[in-house]
Amino acid sequence: MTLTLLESPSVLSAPRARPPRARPLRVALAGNPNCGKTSIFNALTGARQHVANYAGVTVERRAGTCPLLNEPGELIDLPGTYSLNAYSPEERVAEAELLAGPDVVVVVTDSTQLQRHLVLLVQVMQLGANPVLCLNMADEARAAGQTIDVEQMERLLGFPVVETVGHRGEGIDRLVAAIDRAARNPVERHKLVLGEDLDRALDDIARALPPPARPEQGAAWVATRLLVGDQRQTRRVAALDGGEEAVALARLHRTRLEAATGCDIAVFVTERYFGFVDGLLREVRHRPRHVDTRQLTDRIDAVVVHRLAGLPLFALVMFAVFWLTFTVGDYPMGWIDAGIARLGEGLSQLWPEGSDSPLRSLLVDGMVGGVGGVIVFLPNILLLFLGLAFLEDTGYMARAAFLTDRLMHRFGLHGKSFIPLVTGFGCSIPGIMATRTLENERDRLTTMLVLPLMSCGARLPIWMLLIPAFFPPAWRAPTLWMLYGFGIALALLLALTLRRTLLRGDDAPFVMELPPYRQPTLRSVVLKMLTRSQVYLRKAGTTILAISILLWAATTYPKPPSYQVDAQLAKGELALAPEEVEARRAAEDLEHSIAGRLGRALAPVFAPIGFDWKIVTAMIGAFAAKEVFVAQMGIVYSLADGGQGTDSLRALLARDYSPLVGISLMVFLLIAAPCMATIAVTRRESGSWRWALLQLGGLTAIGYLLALVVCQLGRLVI
Amino acid sequence: MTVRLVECSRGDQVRILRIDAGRGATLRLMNMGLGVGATAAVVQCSPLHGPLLLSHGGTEVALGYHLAEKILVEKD
Ligand SMILES: Nc1nc2c(ncn2[C@@H]2O[C@H](COP(=O)(O)OP(=O)(O)OP(=O)(O)O)[C@@H](O)[C@H]2O)c(=O)[nH]1
Ligand SMILES: [Mg+2]
Repeated sequence: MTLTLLESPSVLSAPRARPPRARPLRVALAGNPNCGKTSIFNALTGARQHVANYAGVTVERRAGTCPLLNEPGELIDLPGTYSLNAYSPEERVAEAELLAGPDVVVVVTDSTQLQRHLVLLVQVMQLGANPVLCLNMADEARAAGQTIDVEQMERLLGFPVVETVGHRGEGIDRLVAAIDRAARNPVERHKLVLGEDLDRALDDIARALPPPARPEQGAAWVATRLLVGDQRQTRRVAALDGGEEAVALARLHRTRLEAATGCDIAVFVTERYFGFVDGLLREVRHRPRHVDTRQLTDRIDAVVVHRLAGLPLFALVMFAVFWLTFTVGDYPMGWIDAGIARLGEGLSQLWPEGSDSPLRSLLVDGMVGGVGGVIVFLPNILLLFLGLAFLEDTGYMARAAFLTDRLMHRFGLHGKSFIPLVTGFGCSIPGIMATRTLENERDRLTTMLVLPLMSCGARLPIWMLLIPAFFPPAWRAPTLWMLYGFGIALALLLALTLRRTLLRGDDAPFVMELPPYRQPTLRSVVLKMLTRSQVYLRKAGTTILAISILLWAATTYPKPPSYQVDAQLAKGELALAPEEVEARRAAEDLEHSIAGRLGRALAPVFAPIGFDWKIVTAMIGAFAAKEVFVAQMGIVYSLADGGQGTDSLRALLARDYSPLVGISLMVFLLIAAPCMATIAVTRRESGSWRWALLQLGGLTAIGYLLALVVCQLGRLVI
Repeated sequence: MTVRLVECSRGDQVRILRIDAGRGATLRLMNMGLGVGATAAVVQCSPLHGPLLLSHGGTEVALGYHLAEKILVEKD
């Protein structure tokens, strides 16, 4: 079919009158997944939103301001969307934003994929929006030998077109100028030609639309939705006065066109979009006859996603990440640990020896002992995130989804669920958000519910504390790896159970685009690490600090009126060295405190899985934030030895608990009671408390049972 | 030769003849450049009903087995 770009007079391109803006300028960034929208957004606003090399990174609307624009305004980054006939929850977010009518829509495209990415532009034009076309990834297109006649393209389309390299900020100044230009003179009419038969049908339907359903600009869009039988639009229009007529007319055209073409109307319309894009590209794009931009990618994929070697390779890569986290992380961790210990001693010396000043205890035991214990693990956290950044930025993450598809299928999910799960290694919250990329509601709920079993970054400090306390060096990295593996295995089993019981139903078809391999830039990796450090330290300095102070108070007060050990000494029943007397007093203090009493009241419940009251209090704190477990153990032990101890917390734990309790503890902490924030997000994303509470109760029960099995079996064996 | 996509093996060049999936999946495939008439190379296919990997026009698309079953192609 040949399509010209000449405009035909019709209702659809009637000149529009935009009312003067009363509110600040609103600019939305839209485009296919992974074309670089967030990179552009960051370049325009100076923000540091998450960028990674796979489809479906951004799943929420994010707003920012661009100081470079002439007119102050709001810039909105959107999830990637292939089209405006939304399919998955994250695409609906983008659709809703575009339908809300921003002043300028920047349509971002991957220049090497224009024949597909420009289809969204066609829909945006139908919507009557005021677009700016951003041809991103211009570097890759150039490397493939493609050139675009940008001026010719602007002439044909009638709105600004700009080439950019988003992640390096090239062309951003021109993009800013283009947005300014578009904001000043909105497009009057779009020159869109979709073929005579279709154009005529759309025009016909648009003319029949009752005035309220006939937005000055978007009539073509409403007509198209009616033509393809979109339920929401049909219902909306049918409810209006005279709307029935338009709906009936649309049905008539649909039957006629389907009979004439022999294919589904939506497929037919989409083909025409592609036709328009082809026609446009023929006039503006020049490239060598044969270009293969994917040679490198295809060659790497021959090995990486190999049918047999692929999965073992992935397991190996993950092992390397954990090994790095442990071995490399240990050095800087040691330095920070020493520094914090010195800080504690220094602070202690501000008071006379043996002082029982509450302020000294708050500073040394509560804050340094609590928060300091958490900050120590910053290097390990950074290494874990470095590993994740490597997975994300190279494009390997999407391959992992492909590789695990078959496995996931056995358990009632598919490969796409794997990406949220891996994201959960960082933190459960973005992991749960990332389930928005799953089209099928049941897949999505299942993935969300089992996601906390992915051991998150906040739990890493716990493993870093416990594993070396109970395992010899050679076993540490393998233990960590097995712990993560255990979480995954359990998540899959639970997913299967859910899919067989509460969430029964067909599985959605699995289709996913894999990005080309890209070399992560040093800048982006460093920036990610910086952002992570900030997040971690901020959390340590706020949430964890606050909870540590609370827990410190609960572990310190009330003090007993008198000490048993003193009474015994007075009666001459005991003869103890002064340090021993101190230690006994401290122990009595702990037992008398609120935390001690609460812990001991609950201890019988946890005795079967080997936990004593100290662990129980730390566990309660961990419900607020997982790292608090480490903080509270630090506080308890710091109080117990009156801040005099020089032994590391790890050594003290090894002294007081058996390895079996250590394992039982790890099993319980991995599975039971996801943190409060996770429960809240599950509630929001699933839309009901029922699922959130099921997640909380179910996981806690399973965690308890498995810890019980470990503990009881272990006692039999040992 | 006309076959279902799942019957193809690594290295085959195929042309899509028909897609018998629902409207949603068909449109999604079109958006990824795999509409009727598109040509693609099979980069990987996994044993035991695993997914397929197609490469075409500079894009790689992973397809689940059940979807690939519904796609009719011509292979040479
Ligand atoms: N070579 C090249 N890479 C780019 C360019 N712009 C972005 N990238 C990279 O492309 C990948 C995707 O970038 P994002 O900004 O996350 O893309 P997005 O469109 O926001 O992706 P979603 O949120 O998943 O839809 C990242 O690895 C970026 O570093 C560019 O102009 N050239
Ligand atoms: Mg993004």
